[in-house]
Amino acid sequence: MSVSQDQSLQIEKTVARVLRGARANDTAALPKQHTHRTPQCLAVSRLLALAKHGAVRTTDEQQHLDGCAFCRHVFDTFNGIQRSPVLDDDTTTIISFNASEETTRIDPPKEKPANDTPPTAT
Amino acid sequence: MRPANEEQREHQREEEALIAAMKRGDANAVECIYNRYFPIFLRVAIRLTGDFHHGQDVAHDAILKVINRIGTYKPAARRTPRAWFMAVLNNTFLDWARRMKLRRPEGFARDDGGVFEPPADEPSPHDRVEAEEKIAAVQAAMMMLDAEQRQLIMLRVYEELSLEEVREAMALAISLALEPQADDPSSAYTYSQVGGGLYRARQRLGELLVEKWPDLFP
Repeated sequence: MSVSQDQSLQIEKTVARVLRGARANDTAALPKQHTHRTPQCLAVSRLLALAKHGAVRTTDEQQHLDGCAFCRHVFDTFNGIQRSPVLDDDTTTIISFNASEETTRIDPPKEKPANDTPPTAT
Repeated sequence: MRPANEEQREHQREEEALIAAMKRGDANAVECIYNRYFPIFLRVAIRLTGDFHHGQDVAHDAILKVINRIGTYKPAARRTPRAWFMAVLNNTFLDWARRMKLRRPEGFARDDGGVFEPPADEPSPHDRVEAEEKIAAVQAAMMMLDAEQRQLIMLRVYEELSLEEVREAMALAISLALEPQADDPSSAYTYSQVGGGLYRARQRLGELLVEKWPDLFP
């Protein structure tokens, strides 16, 4: 489908405005931290020190590391161990999108059928 | 009020200082970079992947790579830390896109992008609904672009990076994929590629919007 130059410029302006609006929404609506990170989690800098700089972990830290997928993932990443992301990424599709806890999602507006589409027989 | 570019330069100096501190092993600098860039990576990655959880994983892996590879960051003329950080995010997104392509024969593009509430300020209910629909349509159309076009639009239009930063971010992402130590990506992605790529991406996006949502984009 070809779009005239005027139309194209108009759409470009609209898209820029829409995307800037979306960015403002996203900044306000999205969490500031990973949703699996808890107040009990170790600081990222501490995990870096443990994994890369040979810092000695305390018993509490070890216990937390053993039971926390988030901290374990960060620690392993710094340690150079390739693992799946924090969430189990072993899915075959990305259809299972459910961000209702974090955001409100709306579906894209319906596409308008082309004028020459014949009505469906019932 | 200070001009925007002065503010940007101050921001840049601050980030250069944080990077230098990280290289010296300063724990506060690590936390500072993580806390500053995770939210930025998250909003861009969700828009790139069209999915909250995948976006979160991409953003998180990217910020850990930034921290892990900070030793390879080299200041260069006209290079900003932001462009380098975005290059790492780009690179992580491309890895994800490749994995998704392998898993889904039809590719990773979705036509039902996730979107968020519009700003809760002044617009009337009608304007609000229209704004929501436009955001949803643009996100859906973005998911029909290829990965490179989507990155260009996100960096230039959504994150409002300068053309130089976009070029650096695209070039460095290619370099990171080939050779983590590479520090001269100047030949990897040229200005004309940025300009041409952006032109084609905008053109395609416009065509998709007019074709599929003519009521919203007459």
